[in-house]
Amino acid sequence: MLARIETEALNGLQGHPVVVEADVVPAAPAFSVVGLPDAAVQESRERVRAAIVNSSYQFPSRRITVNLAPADLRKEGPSFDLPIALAFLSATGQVRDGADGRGPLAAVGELGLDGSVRPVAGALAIAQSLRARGVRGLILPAGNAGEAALVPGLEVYPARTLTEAVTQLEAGGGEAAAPADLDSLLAAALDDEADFADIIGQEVVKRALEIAVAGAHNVLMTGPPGAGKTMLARRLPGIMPPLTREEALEITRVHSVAGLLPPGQPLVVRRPFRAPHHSISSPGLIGGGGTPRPGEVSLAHLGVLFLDEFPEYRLAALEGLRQPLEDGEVTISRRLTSVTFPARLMLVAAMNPCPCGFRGDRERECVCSGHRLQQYRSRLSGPLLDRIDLRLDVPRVPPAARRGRRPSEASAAIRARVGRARDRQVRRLASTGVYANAHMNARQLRTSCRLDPAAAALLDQAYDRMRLSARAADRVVKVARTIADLDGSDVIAVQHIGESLSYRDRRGEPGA
Amino acid sequence: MCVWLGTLASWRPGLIGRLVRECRTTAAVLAQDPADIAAFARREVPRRRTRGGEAAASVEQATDEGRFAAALAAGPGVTLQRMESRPPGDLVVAWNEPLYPDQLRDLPDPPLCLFARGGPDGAAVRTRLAAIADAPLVSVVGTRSPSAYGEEMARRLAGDLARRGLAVVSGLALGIDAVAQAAALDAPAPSPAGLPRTVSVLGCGADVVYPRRNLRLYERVVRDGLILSEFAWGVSARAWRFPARNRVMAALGRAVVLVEGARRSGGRITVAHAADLGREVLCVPGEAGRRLSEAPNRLIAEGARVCESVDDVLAAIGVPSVRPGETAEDAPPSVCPSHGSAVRDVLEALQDAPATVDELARRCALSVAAAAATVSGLEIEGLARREDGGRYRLLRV
Repeated sequence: MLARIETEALNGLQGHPVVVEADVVPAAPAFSVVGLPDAAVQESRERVRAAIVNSSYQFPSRRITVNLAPADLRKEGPSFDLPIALAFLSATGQVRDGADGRGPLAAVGELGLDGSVRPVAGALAIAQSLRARGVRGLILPAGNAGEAALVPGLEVYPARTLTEAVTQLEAGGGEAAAPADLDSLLAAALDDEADFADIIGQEVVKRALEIAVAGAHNVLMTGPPGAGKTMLARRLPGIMPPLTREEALEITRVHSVAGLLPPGQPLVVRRPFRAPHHSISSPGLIGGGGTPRPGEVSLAHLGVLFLDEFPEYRLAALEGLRQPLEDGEVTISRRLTSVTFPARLMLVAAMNPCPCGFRGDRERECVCSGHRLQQYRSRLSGPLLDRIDLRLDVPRVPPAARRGRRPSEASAAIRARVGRARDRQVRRLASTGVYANAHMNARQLRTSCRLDPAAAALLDQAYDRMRLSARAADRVVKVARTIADLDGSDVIAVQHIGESLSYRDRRGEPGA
Repeated sequence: MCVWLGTLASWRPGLIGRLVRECRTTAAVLAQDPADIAAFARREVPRRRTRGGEAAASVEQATDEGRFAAALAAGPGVTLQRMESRPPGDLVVAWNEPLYPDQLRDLPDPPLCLFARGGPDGAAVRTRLAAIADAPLVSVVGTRSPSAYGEEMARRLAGDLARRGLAVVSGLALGIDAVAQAAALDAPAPSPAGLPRTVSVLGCGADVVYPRRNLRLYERVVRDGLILSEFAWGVSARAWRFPARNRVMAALGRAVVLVEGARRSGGRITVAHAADLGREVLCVPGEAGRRLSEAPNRLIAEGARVCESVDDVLAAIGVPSVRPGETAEDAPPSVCPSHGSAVRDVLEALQDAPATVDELARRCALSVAAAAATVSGLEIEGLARREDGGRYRLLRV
């Protein structure tokens, strides 16, 4: 007898329809799975056999063939356990498929030997893909129900055990999980505990970070150990505009595929802040592996990627950053497939001014030789640095200078200004497909950045005296545009260019 | 003969000294039979490398020894012939030729020959060599990793010296040396009678660029200045050649100015030689307690002159301080009326001490945005400069 169950295979974030077919014939006992399964899928035979027996169903001595169609698509991971078990039970007549004319149900889930149903990675992407191809409902592990319930229009039937899954299937969908209310989930997201009000002093740095967030510019902070670079960076998501529903779903999709959603939290409600250690491999940072998995750049999608000790990262990893910073996504190619993950992130890099860390410090003296210093700085390639718009010096603030100062501005106030500046940019760049100043190309830069005569004169003077490269001058204008947006000004004035110049890239300048 | 011996000394630093001891006078050495000299030189032991890995040391040693043996085998005649096939602009002057700078004869162990490069052709090198013989030269030396203050002082002193028609001698190393030589080349100076703007004395062959980072500066010195070395063409840099080079630098100038240096700084070697030779020693005082202030402040305590500006140098060497017309850059930054009050306040604050944007904003009661815009405007106008650590320093006050 033959039975079929719909399910879904994931390739990166992309879902592909898969049908599980089970055929049981009276012949020499055997249980085989065909259709390009990987090792985890092959092993599912053992899990399925044990789960069926331990759930008090029969495992008859017949020849059982399970086919995963289409046969040319590679199937990976344990999420086929549940559909295979359900197809098997239908084929052996132990389950009456409740085909009541309302259309079939799909199933995903991993089985335990005792018949329990375990959560799988990527449930949100699977649910979205099923919904998009018109599947009515989905039986899935209870632990994934919250994620799938975020997809409007899809009936979600959670199951804790194989027996519950069978009940749902026979009923043609029994008890459905309540659809989630995205807006209330987002609204319930409390303000981040890390607030800019905690940081006393460092006013320039805070100002520059506000500009960076407002224009989605990447930042490089230079300062001695203990200056507070990490503290400052950690507070950046808190001043970024609140997540929209679409953005929250995009982030959740990536985190779900990576299996990083904490239990009981189906939706990512805050902008991510990722701070991988500098020993990270290139695939770990950019994404990759035999089965391509999202890297840190994708996990930081729509949030902040903080790379402390920037020159200490592997060269391959640093150079790999260039594509995502440029395109906002990462494409990983493999023999049979290529996978694209989103990676629209704000890069916040931090480094010491020199290997010993104290160059330019007021109290401690640097002991690095010129050669060591040169070596340290030359690890960062020109093309990579060309993608970073703002350079900041973060000096140490001595405790005495911190005492008795008024507490600083709270993140919420900064966030409001950032939001207004972003709105101006979105309106101005509406027709260009770009949403922030940092992403303007050369033509958009010319058309949307008007400089008043005094500003133009100052830029020309800087160009001559500081021997700015054309690229560096473009970056100065982009940042000045953002400063003008924060200022509510349509024209870039001299003080905007002046301030922007103070954050400029000083490579190649006389005396640099 | 002289050139050949000088070439040999590039790998056997003690050779000449021992030969002179053997034959009493340098002239007597030069009169010897080359075959005897070669036999003597063969007995000399190569200098041992004290630092670095065994393998690296032995590779370096092997190359050096190979070149020494080749030079030894070549003999005086061939050596001289080879010198003649060098590109125009490369010149060798022997100790007994009139072009040899007289100052160097003050040394107890003067180089037997000097390899020189500078200018487009032989005539230009000759003019420049002749010019430095009687011109007042000033050596400016210091640390390879200076602070912003040290760089600024070196730049100012060397630039002012060049503007007053004095050539700056230095070693073309990183840091103070490079800053001083670049400033001397940048100065809008009418060089009197073929005097090179600056003279670089190298611790490797005059045609070797070391460190490589100074390649562009090296090329500028070749164009407008003069490169000197006692080491033969193509000889690579080794640690022991730098102290040797320092004695030549000390002898060449009438005064040595030390800008910054730690206690065990190469600059102190130069200064010690200068003192032995009766040259003037000046030190730019540094902030107390800083590592880079140790050498200059120590020397001042021991009797070196304090050098705060070019006038101190001129007074020390007895050159009348004639100002060749005040240039705009000499004047302190004037607060011109067209500047707004913010600019005036920031300039005033910077006159007290270098400050970060945060500090300027607080002192002048400005927003950080306004303070940042104002101070970077000053920087673009060339009135201030940003140091490591984000502090801005006022220039030329």
